[in-house]
Amino acid sequence: MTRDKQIRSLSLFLAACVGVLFLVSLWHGESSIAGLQALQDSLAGRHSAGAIILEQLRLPRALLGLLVGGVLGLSGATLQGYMRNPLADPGILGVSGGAALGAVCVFYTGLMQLSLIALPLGGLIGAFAAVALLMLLVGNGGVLVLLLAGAALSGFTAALTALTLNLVPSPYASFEIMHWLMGSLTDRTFTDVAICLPGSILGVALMLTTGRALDALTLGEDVATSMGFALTGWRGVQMRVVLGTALAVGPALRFLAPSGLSDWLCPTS
Amino acid sequence: MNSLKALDVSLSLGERQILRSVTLSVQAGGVVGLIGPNGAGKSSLLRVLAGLLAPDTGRVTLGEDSLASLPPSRRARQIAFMPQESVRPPPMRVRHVAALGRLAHGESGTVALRHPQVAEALQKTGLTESADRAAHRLSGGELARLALCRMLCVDAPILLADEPVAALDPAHALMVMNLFRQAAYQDGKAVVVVLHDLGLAARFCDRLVLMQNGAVRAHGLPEQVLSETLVRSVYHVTTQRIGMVPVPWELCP
Repeated sequence: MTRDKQIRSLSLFLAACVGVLFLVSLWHGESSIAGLQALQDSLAGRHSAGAIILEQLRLPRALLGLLVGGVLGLSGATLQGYMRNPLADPGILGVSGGAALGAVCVFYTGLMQLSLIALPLGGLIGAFAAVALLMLLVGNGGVLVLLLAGAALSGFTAALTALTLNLVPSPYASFEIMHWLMGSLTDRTFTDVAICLPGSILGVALMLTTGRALDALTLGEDVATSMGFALTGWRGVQMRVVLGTALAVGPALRFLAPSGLSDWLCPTS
Repeated sequence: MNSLKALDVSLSLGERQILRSVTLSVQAGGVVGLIGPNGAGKSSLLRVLAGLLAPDTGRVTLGEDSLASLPPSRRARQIAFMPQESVRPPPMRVRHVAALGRLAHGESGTVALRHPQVAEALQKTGLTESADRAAHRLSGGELARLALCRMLCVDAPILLADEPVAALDPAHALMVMNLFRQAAYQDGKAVVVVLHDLGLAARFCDRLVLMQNGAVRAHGLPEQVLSETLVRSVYHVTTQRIGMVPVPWELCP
C-alpha cells in the first residue's frame, strides 16, 4: 500500500472512530437509557425520560465535545504548521491564558450572576485582549518574536490568574473557579453550543484561508514570501493564524482545561 | 520579459551598512553572476532584488513598475527565488515538494502535481527517479537540486538563486549551471546566481558583478572582472590561471 493510501485509510479510520465515539457518548451516561427507543421517542416528539436525556443532556455534550476537540485540533495543527514546531498549541500564544484570566475576572467580580453568557463572553474578551497585547508586542516580527511574546504573555496571564485566585474572598468561590479552570462538558445545553458555534465557524474559516501559505512555509519564510504570501501585517498569515485561534479557542475553553494536553496532542497524533 | 533593475540601492541592518549605492540591471536571456567574499552583500542584494528586503534608499523596478508597489502574487509569478540554505522539507514526497512551486500561480494539490512544468523540472534536475522518495531523507546535494526544481516549477521569467551549487559535487554543479544557461539562452529567462566558485562563474556567466563591502567593485565580462589584480585585491589571495580561469592559489602575505 502506498503512503498516500495509508494516510487516506488512516484518516477514514480515525473519522469513523470519531463517529462511533460520538454515538457511544449519546448512548452512555450516568443513567442507562434504551438508546433506540429514546431515539424513536425523540424523533416522534414523545417526551419520554430517555428522549429528554438524549436531547437535552447527551446530544449537546457530544456536539460540544466534537466542536471543542475539532477547533483545538485545527488551531493546534495551524500553529504547528505556522511555527514549524510539533509542540505548538494555543497555550503557547497566551490566548488560552488570556481567556482563563477573563473568565476568572468574571467569576471574581460576580458578573456571572448577570447573564448566562457573561462567562464565555469574559473568556472571549480575555482571549482578544491577549491577542491585542500579543500583536502589539510582536509588531512586524516573525515566528520567533511571536513565540517569545506568547511565552511571556502566557506567564503573565498565569501569574494574574493565580493572583486573582489568591484574592478571592471565599474558599467556595476559589473552588468554583478551580473547577471551571479544569473545564467540563457535563450538564451543557444547546445554549452552550450556540455560544461556541459562531466563534468556531469564524475562527475555522480564518484558519482555513492560511492552508496554502502554511504549505509554502514548510520550505521556509523566504520561499513563502517569494511565492507571494504576506506573513506579517494586518492581513498577513500570522495575524490570521492568531486571530483564528483566538476566535475558535476563546469560547471553547470553558469546556476544556485552558492548557490541556489535547491542545497539542490532537494535531500531533 | 520585463527587466529587473536595482537603482542606487542602499541598505543598513542595525548599525551595519549592508549595501552601498548598488546599481544593477538584469536582462532576459543572460546569466549574471554575483561574486565576492563572505559578507560582501551578495545575498542581501539578491533578497532586495527578490522583494524580500526593502532598501533604505534607492529602488528596485520590474519593467516600469516599482517592485515595492507590485502585488505579492504578481511579483511571485515574475520572480522565482532560491534561498542560500534549503530548509529540510517535511515528510512529503519529492514530487509534492517540487509542486509547491506552483503555489505562486495559486495551484495546489493534484492540479499542481499534474502541471507539465513539474515533470519537466524533475527531469531537468535529475530527480525523476527520486520523485516518489521521501524528501526529508534526501542528501544535502539532492535537497539543493530539489530546491532548484521547486524554483523551476514556478516558471517565472526571472530566476534568482543564492549559492545554488554550494552543496553539489562537480557533476551536479555543472548540470545545474548548464540548466541556468539553458534557461537563459533557450527559454529567454533572466538569471542571477550568487557563486563562490570563480571557475563556474567564468565559464557559465555572461556578466559578473564583483562585490566588496556592500558595494559593486567591478562589473562586466568575466575576463574583465576576474583579472588577477582585482581578485587579489578583493579576496586577498594570489591566483594561478588555468586556461581562462583564475584559480585561488595562496593567501596573500
